[in-house]
Amino acid sequence: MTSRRATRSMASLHGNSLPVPDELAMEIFSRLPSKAMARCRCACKLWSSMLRRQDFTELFLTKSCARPQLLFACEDRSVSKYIFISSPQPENPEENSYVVASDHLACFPRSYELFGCTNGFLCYGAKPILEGRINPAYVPVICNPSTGQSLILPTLKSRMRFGIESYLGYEPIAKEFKALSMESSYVSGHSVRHQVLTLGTKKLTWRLVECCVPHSSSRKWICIRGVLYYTAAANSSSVKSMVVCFDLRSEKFCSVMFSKAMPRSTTLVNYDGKLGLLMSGDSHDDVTRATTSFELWVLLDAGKHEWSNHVYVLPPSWEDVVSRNMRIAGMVGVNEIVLAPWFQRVPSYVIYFNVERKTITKVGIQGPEAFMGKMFYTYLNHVENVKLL
Amino acid sequence: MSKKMIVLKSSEGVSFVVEEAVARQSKIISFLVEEFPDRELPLTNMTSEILRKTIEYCKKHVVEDDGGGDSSSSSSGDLKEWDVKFVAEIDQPRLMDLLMAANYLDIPSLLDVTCQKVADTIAACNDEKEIRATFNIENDFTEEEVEAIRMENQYPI
Repeated sequence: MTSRRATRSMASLHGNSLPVPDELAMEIFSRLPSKAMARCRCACKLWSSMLRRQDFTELFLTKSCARPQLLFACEDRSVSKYIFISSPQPENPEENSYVVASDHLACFPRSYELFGCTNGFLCYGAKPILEGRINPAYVPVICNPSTGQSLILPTLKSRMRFGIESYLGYEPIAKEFKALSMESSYVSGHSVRHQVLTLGTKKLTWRLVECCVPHSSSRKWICIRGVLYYTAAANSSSVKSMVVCFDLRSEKFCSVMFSKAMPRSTTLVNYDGKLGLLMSGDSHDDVTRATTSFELWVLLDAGKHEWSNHVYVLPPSWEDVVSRNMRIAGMVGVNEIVLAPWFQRVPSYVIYFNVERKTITKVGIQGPEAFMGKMFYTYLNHVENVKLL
Repeated sequence: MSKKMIVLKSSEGVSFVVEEAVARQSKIISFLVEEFPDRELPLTNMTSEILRKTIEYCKKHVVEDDGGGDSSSSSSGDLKEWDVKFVAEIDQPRLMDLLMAANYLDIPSLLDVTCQKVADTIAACNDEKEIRATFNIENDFTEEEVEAIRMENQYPI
């Protein structure tokens, strides 16, 4: 923080604001927890508009990217809601350490399931009740646990209720969020009717886009540097052995072949800005106590279908720490693989496998009461974003 | 070895004699001392009270580089604790003045603790009414407008 500007005289400043220049006010606001920020938006017009300014939301996002969080999404079936809670994300955690998931973020109505998370925004599918009756059409919802905002997207150009996938991407050049949806055809088993919606525009509409890559999509996806990647199969009955790439700027699809069938444990990770496929080794489908290694395939050149392969052999302590089936949550940096139990209930934990030091560390999660006895999912590298759509 | 002293003058014309190493934590003063050695530096937009507070902070945070180092014996944990107490004792309007002084004099660590204290004060408010009362803000929203903003931020109560 090296900003410096000649101090304005206190008397000449707006009596409605903090008696400091805008850049300092923004510096102060950027340190607020999201809930306090929501209160500030209601304080006065000046604060409200300042907190909406793009330079402020970008400053906040930059700071948030420097301290990514663990995001826990809890399904509370009794009230049909998703509850989101976050905690600091440890790096190189010590033995017997724990994190406290205390920042109470927002909750949203639930339906179907969560699709995933990009740049602080999550995407899930809903069947909203309109005019007192259940609308049978599927509707994607974009929500942001940091601001509490949720945006119900228009009904898709489709009458389907099942077999629909939605993805959310961020295009960093135009600074736009785009949602991509598709449905799977009963006839061919392929994904059809691919449609895109740009968020932040006045009238939200789905636009059909052409896809000349025959594939059957999946729910495993990630957005890296303006490209949405998801694993796919050549058709609905075959194994997943390709990655479909959707360039958010050009809105064009391409595909990258993978040399073998991807095991069920496969998770897409951001490996230093490149796409990584992280999976259990030795042709095991799942990550269990019997797992002996992990494989990481990093996409070097999409055009040439070129991947680099890393094998990380687990140390003997793995067997002592792991007793249940685990899910690969992702990677922190390029050295730490993070795993979470398939069925997580409070009190829970995540496991860090440091591939460089070959250490296994269990990190406890101390959740608030809202989590007690409930199922939840863990997302890695969550960033808080206070941009309002 | 005698320590080099400089003179800082507040808006009321009160002179403060300060060790140069203490004052040099301000990047602005550091620059001015080099450009204008042996001159007293007028700080016309800073009251004696705020200047005294700023100097108090700088004295605590000075790191001696002459090898003696006995005045920088505080550990970083102690310093953090001291900082918390330091800003806790200041009322809201003076905290703002101190923040502005830190900004003007370019003392990054003091700017950091004062900004954080203001943020903590805002965060400690239970609702927007308390924020307005604490910071003397006039409500220029209608009830409907506040409601519309609340709808945007659907927080669980």
